[in-house]
Amino acid sequence: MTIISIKNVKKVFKNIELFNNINIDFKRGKIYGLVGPNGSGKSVLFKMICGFIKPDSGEINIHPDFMDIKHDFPKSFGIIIDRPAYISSKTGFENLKRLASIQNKISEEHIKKIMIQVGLDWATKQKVRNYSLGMKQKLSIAQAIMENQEILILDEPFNGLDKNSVTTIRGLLKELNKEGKTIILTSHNQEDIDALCDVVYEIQNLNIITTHSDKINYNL
Amino acid sequence: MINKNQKSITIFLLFCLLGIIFQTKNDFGAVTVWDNFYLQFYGVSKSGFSLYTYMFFCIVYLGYPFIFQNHFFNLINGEIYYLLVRYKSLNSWFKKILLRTILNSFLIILILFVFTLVISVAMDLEMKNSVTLRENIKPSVLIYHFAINGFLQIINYILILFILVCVTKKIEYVLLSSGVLLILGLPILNIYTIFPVALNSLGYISNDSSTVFVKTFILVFYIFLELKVISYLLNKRIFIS
Repeated sequence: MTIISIKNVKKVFKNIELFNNINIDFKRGKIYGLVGPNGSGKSVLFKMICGFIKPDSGEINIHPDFMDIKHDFPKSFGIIIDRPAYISSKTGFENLKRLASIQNKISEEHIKKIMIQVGLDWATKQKVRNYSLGMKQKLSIAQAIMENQEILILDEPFNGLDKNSVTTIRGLLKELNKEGKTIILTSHNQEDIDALCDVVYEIQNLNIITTHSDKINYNL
Repeated sequence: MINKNQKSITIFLLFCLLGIIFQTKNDFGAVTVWDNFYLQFYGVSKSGFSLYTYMFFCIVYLGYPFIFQNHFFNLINGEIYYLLVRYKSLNSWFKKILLRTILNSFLIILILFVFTLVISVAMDLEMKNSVTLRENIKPSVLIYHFAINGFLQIINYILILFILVCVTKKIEYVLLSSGVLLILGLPILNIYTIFPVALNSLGYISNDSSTVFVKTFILVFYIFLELKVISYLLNKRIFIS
């Protein structure tokens, strides 16, 4: 089942032409990798998929199961996009509780469980401003998955993570994928892409091409 | 737990409280509680203004909008995506912000009212039902102008700053805009009182208190206009691109 379909999309962003007639389909239950040099438009593509910015022409269709006609943004999307997902003067747990209170779908116990899963101590009084880069990244991952989101759009989810944390998060993403979640991620680390992705798209010359669709086993 | 925004609002209210105490202590000729209201929130009038009174007025009425604009600026440069994907609709998100802002503005007006009343009584001003400094002003009109037009004026400032943050996305411009609002409120620039700035000045009812409803109409008209502009900006996603 195609959940996101991008058709003939063109986009100029901040006076730079990024995409010229791109077409991609993302199918349910797969892990997709999106690669390309800095500034090639990966984050912009993610923002367009989420509805935060609009394409100049063409269309991005989200399957009706995930897009309500009366809404501007898709439902059940867990995202990490090039901005901090937290308020630095609060603790990690307070931040997640605050975001979770918008939809009010999960309990505090569930938030604690997710924090443990990504490798964070929910009980710490440490404010996010004192977190390391890796801890902040784990917090971002926690908010993206905590409400059992079906589709995960993750821009550089492994940024700042140490080796052990990379292994933990890779394992977690594989686990979520086994449960049927669709994951679209970017990474500058080819090993992450090779280890996780079923299909890899590369942004090249304003277009998107499929580079490979094999998965390499890195002993997850 | 008190967040940064609540902390700023508390400090702002303490400033207002100190200002009210300081101004009440100085004997400007207030006899009744309503005289004191008139003097505290005089702002500007068509015939002129005093710099000190106008500065206090600006701190009181631009204080919360200023805190709001900083909060909103940080929001659109931070966690905005994570909020929007959960609200799922720009309208629901904006409604939530607007409701919170309306509630806060209402509370600020209420607190200022109670502060002034309590301090006036504590400083032995009479609870007589008249404004002795301006016999033509009824206390009920004064309260209406203070509460209703004061509230509408704060909402106007907030919506104007919301629009400016969305369009400019640069804190320097937004800070500058607060200064422009302050200057635009001067009677020399707002001769016909057509700009939605400082219209809640109690000085404006000095000579003709019947204009309070005209002021309400102007402020409400601008709020509708600003909401239309905001709706356009939200639809164009200008603030998040």
